[in-house]
Amino acid sequence: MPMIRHICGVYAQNDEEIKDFIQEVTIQLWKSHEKFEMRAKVSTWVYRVTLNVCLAMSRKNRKSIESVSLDNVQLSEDIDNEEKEQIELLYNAVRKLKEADRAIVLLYLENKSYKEIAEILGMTVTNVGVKVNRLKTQLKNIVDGTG
Amino acid sequence: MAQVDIIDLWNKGKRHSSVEREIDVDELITKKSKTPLYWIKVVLWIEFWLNLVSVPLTYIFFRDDEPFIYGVLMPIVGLIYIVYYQFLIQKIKAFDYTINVKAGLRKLYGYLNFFFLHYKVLIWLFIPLSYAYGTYLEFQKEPTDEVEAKSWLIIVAVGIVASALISLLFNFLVNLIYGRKIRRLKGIVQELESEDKP
Repeated sequence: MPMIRHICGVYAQNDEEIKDFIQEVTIQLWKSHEKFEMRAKVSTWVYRVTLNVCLAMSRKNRKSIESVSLDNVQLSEDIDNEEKEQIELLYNAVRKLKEADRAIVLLYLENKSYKEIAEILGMTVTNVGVKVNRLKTQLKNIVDGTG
Repeated sequence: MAQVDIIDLWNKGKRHSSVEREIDVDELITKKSKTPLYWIKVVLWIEFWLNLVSVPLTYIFFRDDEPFIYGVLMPIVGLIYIVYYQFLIQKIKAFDYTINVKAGLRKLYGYLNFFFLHYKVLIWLFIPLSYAYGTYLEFQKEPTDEVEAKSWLIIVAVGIVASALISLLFNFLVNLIYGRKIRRLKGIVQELESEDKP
């Protein structure tokens, strides 16, 4: 559930939408559980359904996406102000990516291998590699303040 | 500046971001789905049942009146619509979130948009043509030399205005029922398709 909640949180624009997305993912997982083939990993299937529901439900105006702020969130002591700013930049940059790019980045940030990302999103491993490298550089530049 | 590890940053933000708060699963599963597809399916079901009820009723009420036009043709059209609604409902039901959602949504949007546009064509063609046909039948019944040309002009003018108003009303209803949902679906499809463009 934390993984689903987190992905939905990146696609949804507010708390109410997060709940709607999670609810829809839950419904779709339940409805499609019979189609799940044991050949694939359960997590692959859950990621696929979650991302597909988010893609199908996400509202389209990227310009109106609320920025993530960690101001009211209690951060652990090992996070300094610079890092906090970088986290905000990273989260906001990810939220402003195109839907499909966001899906790739999310899976990369969740530490999924290129092969798994390809399997979840129905892409080729080479294509995933190319896109991840491009997006990684783009995000690093934003977080570094050079982009 | 040291090389930024975005995965590490991501995980640190994940642990502390607002989306990590607890969500009541019991509450979630009692709510209804909110996708545009769900609501379109609900409207289609309502139309399906209305047609299912109206088909025998139109047959019973109109069979002795104008046998061909009303008693037979209308139930046949109703039956065609029943099949059409079921076709669309089954397509929405079969929508699969475990496969390529982009292709699936594009296909569904095609079906539903065609359905939406067919209403528009019916409204703007069928209603004026029905009026024209009705007027034509009246002309046939009454010899033109007995009818004042002026009164026919009035009938035609009032009819044009009335059929335009009825068309506008139906157009408004179709937009109200389907328009926003279909537009939202179109927006999703367009956004997903824009990902393919360089």
